[in-house]
Amino acid sequence: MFFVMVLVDVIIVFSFLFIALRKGDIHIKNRMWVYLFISGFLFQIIFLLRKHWEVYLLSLNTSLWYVLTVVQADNAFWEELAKLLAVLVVVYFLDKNMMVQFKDLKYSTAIFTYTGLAYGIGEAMSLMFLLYNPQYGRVFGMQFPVGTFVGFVYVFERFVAIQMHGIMGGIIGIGFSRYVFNKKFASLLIYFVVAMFYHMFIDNFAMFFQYYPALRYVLIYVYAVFLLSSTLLGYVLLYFLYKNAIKRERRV
Amino acid sequence: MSKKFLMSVIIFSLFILAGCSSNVKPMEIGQIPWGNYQRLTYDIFENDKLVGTAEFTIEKSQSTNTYEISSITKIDSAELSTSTSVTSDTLMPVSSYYNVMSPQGDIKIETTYKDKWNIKAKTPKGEQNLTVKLPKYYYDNDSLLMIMRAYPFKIGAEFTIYDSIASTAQIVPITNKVVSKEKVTAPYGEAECFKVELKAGAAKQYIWYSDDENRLLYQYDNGKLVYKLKKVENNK
Repeated sequence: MFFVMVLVDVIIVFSFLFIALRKGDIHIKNRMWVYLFISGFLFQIIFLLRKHWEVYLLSLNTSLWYVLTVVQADNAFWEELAKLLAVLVVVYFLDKNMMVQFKDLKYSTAIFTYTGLAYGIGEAMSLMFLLYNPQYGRVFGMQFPVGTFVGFVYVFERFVAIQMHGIMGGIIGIGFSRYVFNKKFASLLIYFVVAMFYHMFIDNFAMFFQYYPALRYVLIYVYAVFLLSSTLLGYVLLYFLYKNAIKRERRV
Repeated sequence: MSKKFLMSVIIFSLFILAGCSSNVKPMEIGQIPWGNYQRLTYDIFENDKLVGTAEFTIEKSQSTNTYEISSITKIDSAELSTSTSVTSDTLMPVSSYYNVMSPQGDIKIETTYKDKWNIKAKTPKGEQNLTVKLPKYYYDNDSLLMIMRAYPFKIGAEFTIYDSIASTAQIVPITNKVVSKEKVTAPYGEAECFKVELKAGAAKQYIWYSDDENRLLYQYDNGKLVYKLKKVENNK
């Protein structure tokens, strides 16, 4: 199943690059695509250490509403921050000239979407590794049951989740472009929070059912539909925010 | 710039390595408070509602100089049975067995403690083999509640042990502190008990052991479920 997951990752990355280079006319140095991918992938693993902090948050309270609001907001905050930093680190250390190009909304959205996809691939691969090697879960403050096997359900879930991370990255990219363009930090903050809310909306759906074991059988039937429809919703949201940002740019 | 980056990586790595090294000590053992055979039965409560039962059996094996500590826990439709062989002098584990039967499917985990901890999990989907590095002193999670009865309790005493948890293949440091003495009432009866606080990371649990030569586990509160002693067979 490892190779199937890798194949899915490769298909997602090359499909994106095909669209970005051919249709989107996004041009950066080839090696920068590689660096952005590595950065997004590694930032997911580094930021997984936040789970120690989340374990502490959970030790304070385990009620449903606390988990759905405080714990999930914390989780979404760190995950979106990781995507933002993954891009900024590459730009700052490897090519500062890229910064000015982020004024171009299409460029910024594409770069952040791509890094978001790399983050999602990092998550798919690191979770797979930990499911097969639960003894290393402790490094990240996580526990995985022994005897869990990864199947096509996992690959499908991750295929969708990778795209969702790409969408979240893209939303942050719109905000970052507006920040570079008009120097208003609030612009970045607003889009960052929108990405966080989209993240929480998806995670909270599954989390809600964890608290009602009697309803779990419902989750089995509706989960796939929910994942596909919320991905579609994400693409619509990204498109709407992008078009809206273009309108605002024209007014300026 | 790259030199600064390299230095940061080295310093970070040293911190990680420093965190990994630890001063591991064996658990102090006073006197073994059980004989050649003992069975303890518990009622399990969740929010004061009876949700299940648990049974612990300790049996001395004459041929191998070990104790077999086994348990059967039944909660709703799930049943967990465990068995651990511990050496009769150090109470450290030699091997263990863990079996969960639930509507989601059965999981059987067999482990052996040698230079490393070898774990073999069997599920309907297949077999998984894991190897985990062991610290110098370690104790098996499924026998922990029973073997801690051998500790010479004193109020204020504190000790850290490495707990090997078969269900997650992790070895977790647990800090135990004897916090007070309390009178505890269970279906079995009433007794003056040592209250022990277990800390694993941010999570806390409490165990009450009787302040007498039998050192019975009267009550155990894992934060969600409360075990209360109901019956003792073949007390020392």
